[in-house]
Formats: sequence, structure tokens, C-alpha cells
Amino acid sequence: MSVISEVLRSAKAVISGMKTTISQIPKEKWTVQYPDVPVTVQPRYRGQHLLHVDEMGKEKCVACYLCAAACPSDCIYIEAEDDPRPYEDRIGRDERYAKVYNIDYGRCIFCGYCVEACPKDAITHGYNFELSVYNRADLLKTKDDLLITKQKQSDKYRVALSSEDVDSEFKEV
Amino acid sequence: MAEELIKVTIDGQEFEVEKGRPLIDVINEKGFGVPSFCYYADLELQASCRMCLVRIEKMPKLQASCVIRCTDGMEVTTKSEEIEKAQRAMGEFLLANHPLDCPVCDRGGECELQEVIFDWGDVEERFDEPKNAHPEKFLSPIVANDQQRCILCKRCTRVCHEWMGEDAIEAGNRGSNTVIGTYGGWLNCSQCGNCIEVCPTGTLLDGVYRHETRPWELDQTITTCTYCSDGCQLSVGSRADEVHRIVARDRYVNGINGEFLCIKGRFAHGFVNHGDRIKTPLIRYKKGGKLIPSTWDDAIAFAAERIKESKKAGVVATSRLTNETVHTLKRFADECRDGTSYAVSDTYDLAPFFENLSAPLCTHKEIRFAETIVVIGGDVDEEQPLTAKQIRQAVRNGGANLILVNDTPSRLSHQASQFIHVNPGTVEAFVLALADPSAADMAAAKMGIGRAEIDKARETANATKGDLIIMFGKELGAEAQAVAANLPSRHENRNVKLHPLAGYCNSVGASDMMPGRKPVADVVAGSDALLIAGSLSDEEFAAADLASKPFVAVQELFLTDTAAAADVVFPAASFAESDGTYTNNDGFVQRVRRAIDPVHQAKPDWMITSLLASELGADFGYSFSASAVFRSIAESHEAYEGLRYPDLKDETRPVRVKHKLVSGADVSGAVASLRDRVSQFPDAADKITEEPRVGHKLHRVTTMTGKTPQFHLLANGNPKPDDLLVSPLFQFNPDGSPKKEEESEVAAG
Amino acid sequence: MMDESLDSQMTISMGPQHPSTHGVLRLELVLDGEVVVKAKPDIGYLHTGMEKLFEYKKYQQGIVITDRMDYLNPLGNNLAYVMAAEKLLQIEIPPRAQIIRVLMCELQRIASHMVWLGTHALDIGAMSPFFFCFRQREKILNLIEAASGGRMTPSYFRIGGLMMDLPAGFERRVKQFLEDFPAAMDQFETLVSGNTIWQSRTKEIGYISKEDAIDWGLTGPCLRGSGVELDLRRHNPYTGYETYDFEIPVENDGDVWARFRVRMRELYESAKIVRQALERLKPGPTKADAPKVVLPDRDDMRKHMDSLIHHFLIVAEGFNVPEGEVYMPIEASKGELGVYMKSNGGPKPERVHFRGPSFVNLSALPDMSEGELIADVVAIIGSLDIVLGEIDR
Repeated sequence: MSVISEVLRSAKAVISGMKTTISQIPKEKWTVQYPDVPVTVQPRYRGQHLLHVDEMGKEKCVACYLCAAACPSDCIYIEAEDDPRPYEDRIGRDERYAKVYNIDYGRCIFCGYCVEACPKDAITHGYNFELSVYNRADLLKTKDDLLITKQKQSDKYRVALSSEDVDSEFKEV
Repeated sequence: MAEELIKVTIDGQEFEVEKGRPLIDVINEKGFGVPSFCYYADLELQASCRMCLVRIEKMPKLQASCVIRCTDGMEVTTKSEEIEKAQRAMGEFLLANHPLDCPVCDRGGECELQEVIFDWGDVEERFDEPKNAHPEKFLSPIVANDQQRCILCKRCTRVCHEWMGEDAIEAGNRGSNTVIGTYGGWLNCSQCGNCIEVCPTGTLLDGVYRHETRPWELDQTITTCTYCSDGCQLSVGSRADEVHRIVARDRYVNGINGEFLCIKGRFAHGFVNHGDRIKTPLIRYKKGGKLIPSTWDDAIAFAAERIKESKKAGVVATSRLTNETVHTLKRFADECRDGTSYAVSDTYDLAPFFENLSAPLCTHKEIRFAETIVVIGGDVDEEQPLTAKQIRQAVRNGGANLILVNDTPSRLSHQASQFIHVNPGTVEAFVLALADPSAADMAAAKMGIGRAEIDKARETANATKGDLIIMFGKELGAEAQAVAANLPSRHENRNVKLHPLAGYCNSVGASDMMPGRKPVADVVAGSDALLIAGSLSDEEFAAADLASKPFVAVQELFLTDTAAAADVVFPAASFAESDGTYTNNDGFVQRVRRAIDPVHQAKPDWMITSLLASELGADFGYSFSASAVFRSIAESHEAYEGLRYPDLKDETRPVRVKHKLVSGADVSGAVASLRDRVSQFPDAADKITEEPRVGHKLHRVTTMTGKTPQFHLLANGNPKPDDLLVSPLFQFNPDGSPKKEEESEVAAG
Repeated sequence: MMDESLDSQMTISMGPQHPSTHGVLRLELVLDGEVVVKAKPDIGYLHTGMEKLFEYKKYQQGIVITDRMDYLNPLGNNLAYVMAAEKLLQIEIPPRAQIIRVLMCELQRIASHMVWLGTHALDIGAMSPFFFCFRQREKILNLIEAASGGRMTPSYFRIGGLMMDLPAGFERRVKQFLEDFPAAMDQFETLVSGNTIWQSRTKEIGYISKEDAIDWGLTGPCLRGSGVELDLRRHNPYTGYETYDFEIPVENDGDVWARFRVRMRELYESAKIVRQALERLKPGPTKADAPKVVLPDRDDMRKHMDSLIHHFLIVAEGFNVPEGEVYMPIEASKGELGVYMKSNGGPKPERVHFRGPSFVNLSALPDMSEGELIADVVAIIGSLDIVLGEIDR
């Protein structure tokens, strides 16, 4: 095989490859312009946790420690306390509530076991995913950071509708 | 035991078992496993939960195995469809009215109901109607109750009745409305908390450890109680260097006490992590100045300097310290400076007793199975609750004779087969009457009883074939102790055993560690530099006038009167923070284990003493290892010879120290001087007829118990709040007066 | 011979930060000019003590660790682990859960091969396929995210079934993907397979004979590229693979090209299996009937005491697994992934060991690359398709 024919063959391959590449140019864009454009997350996406409250604004968590027991990375720290006051004055929905509820996001692996374990539907995964901080100590989130009434929701995501296509985030919807 | 062995077939396997044993015990021991709630070993049978059903050949229906005794040729089936169906049905019944409370309930994770339902359940729940709802309420400052979770196994009522003799808790109402409760809705018992311990569900809960954490979060450390001389084994539950609760669960501990604990052992642990603990060493640089926080190096150097300067030094130990500490203090006195005197501060010095000891000390197990028990003086119910429980069970479940000699009636006197109610302060005369029959008439007269009572007691003792146990309390002076210690040698053909009702957790051990000690007053008066580990008693403190001493160093947990009068205060570690041993009134040497790291800058007592000693130039050969201290004890005390920490590992088999026995010692001198003393007692006196209230000593607020707020309420009459749903701590001030509205809001917020 | 050329030999260290070593693999290469005389893989830079970690986690908690081993094929790892535990527990998995497992695993295999293809091409110098591959992978990751909530760490399979049933509309989305996929494959064939540069860079490179491949213990596409027909899905079937209709691609050349072809053909087969699984998907339970192992239904748990107790205890204390030991191999995207699990009857395993395909396949690298040019070592590494997370564990 002569050098020339090999060069020609290679050039042909390159050209056919380039054809595919160039044919992509007029097509729709597949890259998401994050952070200018919010990214799409699926409804089951496991982001930063949310601690929920009931219709009266009382915390649902009763500090049963099941989430801490289920957690594979031991990132949940709870201190329970008795709250003997009547329902109207209480912090939580029940007479037992979490005085301290910390999640160490330096350890959390977002596996969702705590959500599965919670018997009171008090903790779920939210969609906030921008958790990076400059100071490692800030990764320790307290109850104030996690409560649904207090957590600031990022505008950098949108939740996909279940009727949408999986790759809808790449298309204009 | 020479019991007759018979053959029992369980699930096709044949076993040889002792005749008459409860079938449920045999089944569980052989590893077949039947569930049960109401069965509790050594309590009377109840057979109400119907979970332990088995099929026994030739019996028409399923039988509850807890009430069946093994007989020869019995054929038992523990697993079949029929049995499982019955058990499932029972489970369904039990859960029909059980609230969906597991996440809130403090018992979750160690609940027997959960475990049994998990293992034997798979219940198909057909009951969909709304359940009876009752909120959780308080029965006393430390007992919380949720009647709806109850499965009516009545373990609590049986424990209250049989162990404590209080009958404080009972089942009320009838049929499906039956609930566990108490008359008047407020418990005025000794608050021992044993009902909480034995409860298989979350019906009765610990009000001190209320909604704090979960059992699996706690590190359980098996250790010895730091209150009375019974030396109960307990399990300290700690999390992140904080003691949360103390339990005696048999699943963790199976020591001399089983699941029994008293109010102090179980609930009075608030002092360990209390904010008033001394945080750093304190130095008073000038007399009349203030105690100023300092560093360890400075404090040790300062104290060593002052002790060096002094003319004569003295060391005072207390009987709450570990053997290791008392031993180190003794070595400090012996080796640091010549002529240093030493003493042990204790309400009750047992030196004369151990010098004349003629029979081994009796164990708590022997009390439970004794035939005759003679209790001379003391206040067992309030001061040695485990001993009281064993006596009560011996009488109630074992049919033992109880001869109680005391000047004050107590709960135990209702159960005594013979209660010899003597004049106040004349208990010693009974010892004289036993030792010297010729003086019996005189003794009887002084005690204000008939001679016949003494003869009757003597007859009972003479007729005893099994163990005869003689206990005596702190009413007995030095001579009477010596005489009592000698009593067994007068009854050589019988099993006589002795049981001193010592004052503190390590009274016996401290007595062993410091032979040749002097009275506290002598040591204090005779030295111008003092090292005190712990605090002096109020009387000793009043007599000592520490402020006038040139130099006093104190090792303490809190700034007590003694510590406040000191020139140097060293923060000491509590029992939960240090390793060591206590010797209890059975003569068992039992381990104290470190559950948490010492709080703040505290150090174990023996470590402080040895640091001070090395500053003074003495070398004990140990400075950081408690086991090395114990080896030093074993090398220098005959009774502890050859013992090492690994020997003390198993709390189910406690190790007895070998106290020297003196048989046939001549105590005629002591008898004579006792006779003299007794003859000087007044001839007539008014007897004390009023029975003191339950808990008059147990609920006392002391330096240690006072750090648990519930004790203040109990000591101040345990007032019943208007609102039972809210903890009394929110409704009352510590002195027992009701809180004003705005105050309670502040406290709650 | 080596002695003669010693003067001109040079030892260089390739990695652990070299982009084409797929992670933190370090190769110690002895070169004679451009020819590799000796290659020695040096591993351990990513060691995290995972196998030891299993001994301290309850069985259910161990699943999340497997996600992080072969992070390109987490569902395959999940599957091997949960099936080992299920074998010990002797749990029967309901058909729907089995089918979903197959479906998800095959999607994951496609995603894993997409990363392989993209990076392999990138290593050799073709930039564009990387983007096209990752676009396809992105679609699959979205599917996995839709089902489990996690993209690279799904932990979707649980001992006794699945974390949750598939979300609504999932089947339609998978169908959509399958419709688009053949076109993407055509693109790859044009871009890569038909490329002469690609062919000359891969053909007759990194040869390993059939016998050597067996001796080295190679599995998966690497073994099939040497002409051995062994696929555990067929030869030791699990999760109902025996009922699916698919071919086992085998190539006889034993070079990089052969391994490349095997994987490319596997992609079609995987898509075929996904399509079959979709057709079989019928409503039904996704959790086994094992109340002592599987968490009860959430609605039941809120209403019934018995379920609440089971939920509470399974979460808090885990479940006891009968004493015994098992070896559970599956055909992961890279070869035979085996889980050896030993239980002492408690709620935590006594020992869990993984037989990772990447680890074993990597051991054949010296044999393949000695005598080749140094530039081809990259191609050989790419053709082995290794993931360091699994090698170091």
C-alpha cells in the first residue's frame, strides 16, 4: 500500500467524520447554559434535605432517630427534647421534637435512606444542589438551614414534569 | 443442687432437666424460644399474656408454658401452625389498641413488644376503628405513663409488690378499660423506677431521661453504682461524653442485682455533667483571699510546696472513693513524708468488725435463699435497697423467717415474722443478749421488750437448718461490732453468715485499704497540712475548722463546704469518668469503668494524688494506668492478693476478696464493756411508733442527688400538680411551691 | 537481549495523573526507544477501604458503597450485591422487579459503554465521539435519575426488590430513547468504526491469545474479543436473563479492534434486551414478600401498628441474614463482577469481597503491551475499559 493511497484513505475518513461533525451545527443545541439557564432535575432528584412542617407550621419531626440510624455515612446528628406545652405553643407537632437537627453535608452521600426511614414524612430531599461553600465548617447545616419555611430555594433548577421527555432539558419547552 | 433429673421432649429432642422447673425456662434455655411478656423469672406467675403457648401431648388445649412445671416424659411442641395462629391472634389483640407511637415513644428500639411482634408477629390487622386515645401523663416527677401502650402484663405491679413491698402501682378499672395506674393518680412511693425497668412496652417511662435520645445511640458501659454499699451493677448510657441515663437491664448487665436498682442508682446521675462541676484547679494564694482558677502544673507545685513546708501532714480519704484512690492516698501518707497520719471519713467505721470476723460475708444471692434473717438496727429499706429487696423476696417467695430488731418501724417490719421493737438507741443490747445469755434479762429490760421475745428469736435461730444471716446497721458501736462479728463462732454447727450494712459504696474497700487509720478528728487536729479527697461530713466539717489550718488541699467534684475552705482545690473525676474498683458489703470487688472522658479538666482522684506525690519526690510506679494501681493493691493487701483487672471482667461472676477470718477469738473483753454500756442505757423510754415516710433517706437532697432537679421536688413532699400532662418540673419551684404563670413560661421558653 | 539494549532503556512513569489512564492508574514503563519493554501497573491511589467498610454497615446500607466502586456501572454493582444478600436470605423477587432490574442494568451497560467509547476515542485522538457518546449517556442518566433520584449513585436496587416502582411515563421515555439510539449508533459507526485512522490505531495492537486470555482470567468483552464465548447472562443466568433473546458477540482477533467490535455489537444487543424487557413490563409488586427484610408499604406503616414496628426495627436494627457464605457473579459491563459475602447471622456482613473485572483485566495489561509502541499503550488501556474505583476499592 503506497503512502499516497493511505493518505487519501485517511483523508476520506477525516472528511466523512467532519461531515458528521459539521452536520451537527445547524441542529438544536444540546448544551445547557447553566448557570444562566436553570437545569432540569427529575422529580425524584435527591438534593439538599427539607424538613417539613404541618398545616399549622409545626415541625413534623419527632426526633425518632430513625434517619440517623438508617444513614450509611452517619451524617445526621439529632438531640431530642421533650416539649410538654399544649399543641398551640409547641415547636413541633408532637410532644417530642428535635432541639438540634444537623446534617453534615461534608459526609452526606444523598442516598435517600433517611427519607425512606422517616415514619412521619418529616424529611425529604429537596432540589437544591448548589452546596459548595468556601469554608468547610459551613457544610454543617442546622435545622434553620433545613426547615422548609426557612430554606432558600435556588432558582437554578426546574423540576421536570413526568410527562416530559427525558431529554427535554435540551429542548425548548 | 441435688434435684431429680427427668426427661422432657421438646420438638422431638430429648433433654434431661431438673424436675419442677418452669417449662418456659427450659424451652428458652435449650434454644427453642417462645415469646412471653408477663413471665418474669423470680416473680409470681401471672399467665396473662398468652404468648408462651405450647402444645403438650395428652393435654386438650394449648398450654401457657410459664405456668407448667416439667414432669417426666412430657412431650412439648413449640412450633406448629396452630401455635403460630394463636400467637398471631394474641399479637393482633395486643396491637388492636396500641397507638402508632413508636417514633415518639422512648422505649422504641428496646421494646419487648416490638421485638416479639417482629419475631412472632406478621399480624394481619383487622381493627380499623379509631383507637382509645389518652395523652402521655406523669405519675410522679420521674415516672411518665402512657396507659394506652399497656399490654397488661402486670410486671410492674408484681415488682412493686414483691420487690419493693409498696403496692404503689396497680391495675384499675375492668375489662377492656383496665389501665395501670395508682390511687389518686400520683405516686408517693420510693420512686425506685423498677416498674419502668421491667415494663416491656412504653407504658411506664423514665421521666428524667425523657425524650432524650435512642438506645442505639448510647454507649453502654457496665459499672458499679456509686451510692450505697450494695454495689449494684448498672449500665451507664452515654453519648458524646454526656451521661444520659442509667439502667440495669439484664440484656446488658447481669450482676448481683439483676434488673433491680433504686431511685438513686437509676436517676441521680445528673451530677456527672452538671454545670457546677469544678472546671479547673483552684488556688487560694493568700489566706482570706479568693479561690482563683489555675493550671494543673501550678496547683500541683503550689500544693507540694506547702506540704513540704508543713510540720506534720495528714490525709483524709472518704468511703465513696475507689479502692485505687484510697490505696494511693495511703501510699501518699506512708511514702511522701514520715509521720503523716491518715483517716477515712465514713459514717460507720467497720474496723472492729473486720478484726474479729469469724465467718464469711454473705452474698445477696444467699440472702434471697436464706432460711432465717436477723436484721439488727440499720434502715435497710432506705439505705440498702437491694438488700431490702432480697430480704423481702426471701420472706415472700422463699418463706424465710425475718427477725427485725429496730427502734423504728419500717416497711420491712410489716413482713417480719418477728419484729422486736426496742426503745430508741438500745439496739446494741440485742447483740449483748445474743452473745451473753446471762445478760439477756437486763438487755430485755433496757430494750423495753419481754424476755420471751429474745428466747423466741434464739429458738428460731437454733431451729434454722439453712443459712442464718445476721445483718447489723450503724447503731452498733465498736464493742457490739466485735461481738457481732464473733457470733458465728458460737454456732459452729450452723451456716451463720454476716452482712454489715455499711454506709457508702466503698466503705468496706476503704476499710481494707487503710488499715491502722485514725479517727478523722485526730488527723485533722494533728496536722497542719491536709490532703482531703472528697468532702468531710457536716459534723466532721463543723468540728474541723479547716479555715484555721495553714494548708488544706481538696480533691472534689463540686465546691462543697470542705472544698470552699481549701487552699487548693483539684477537680476530680466522678465514677463515670474513671476506672477503678469498689468493694461492696458482700466482699465482692467490682469494677468501676470509665463511661465518658473526664469533664472539663478533671482527673481521676488517684491520679491527682500520685501527681502530687511525684512532685514531692515519691515514685509509686504508676501514673496513668488504673490497672497498675490495682496491681499495687494486690501486692500490698493480703485480701486482694493475686487479683488483676482481667479477673474482674465478668460482672455475672463477681470476685470475693479474702477477708481474714478469726475463729475463736476472745471477745470477752468486748462483751464486758458492751454489758457496761448497755447497763447505762435508760430504763424506760418512749418507743417510736410512727413509721417514717417512704423515701425519707432515699429522697434526701445531697451534693450528688441534688443535681437532679426531680430530687428537690421529692424531698419537698412530692406535690401533685394540677396538670398531669406537663412535667412537674415546669409547674413547681424546686422547693415545692407552685410556679407563677409568667415564671413557668420563662422556664418553658 | 534485554541486557544488550539496557543502555538505551528508559523508565518512565505514566500517571497517576495522566488523562488517558482513566483515573489514577500509574504505569511504570520501561522503554527501549518507543517500544515498551516492560509495563507494570501500580495501583492503590484510590484505595478507600470499601470492603472493610461493608463489615460496619447493615446489609441495606452496603448498597450505597457499591455505587462508588465501578461508578460507571453502579446499577450492576447494586445488582450483584443485593443478589448475594438475597441468595443468603433465600428471597424470591417478584417478576416486575426482575424485569426492571434487567431493564435498568442494560441501560446502565449502554451508559457505561458510552463512556468507554467516548474516552477510548478521545485517548486515541478523536475528539467528537466523546461529545456524542456523552449525549447518549446523559439521556440514560436522566432515565436513571427519574427512577431513583440519583444520577451516578442511584442505589436503586434494594435487598428484596427496588427502592420504588418506576415513575409514571418512564416506559414512554425509554421507548423514545430506543428510537433515537440506532441513529446514534450509526453515527458512531461512521465516526469511529469506519475511520481508517481508528482502524490502523487499533488493529493488531495489544494482542492476547485465547489461551492467555483464559489464563489471565479475563472476562467480559476482553475475553470475548479473544474468541472465547463466555457471558454469564447466558452461561450462568440470573434475574431471568435466560428468557431474553440476545446474541453474544465474539471476535477472534484478540486485539484492541476485536475488543472494540465486541463492545460495539454489545450495545445493539443491550438495546435489544431493553426493548424486550419493556414489552414484558406488567403491573405488579416490586418488593418481595419478605416482611422481615423489606420495609413495609408506607401507607400501611402510617396506619398499622404491626407495619410500623417492622419499619422501625428494620430501619433501626437491620435484618439478620442467615449464617453462610455465597458467591454471586454477574456479567457487568466490564466482565464478571462477583460478590463473595459471608454472614455470621447478624445484621452486618462478616466479610464482603468483590471480584472486580477491571482489576483482573488490568493484570493482563503488561502481557498485551510489552513489545508495543508507547503510543499504543493508551489504546490498550482504553480497550480494557477499566475503572479505578473498582480496582482499588
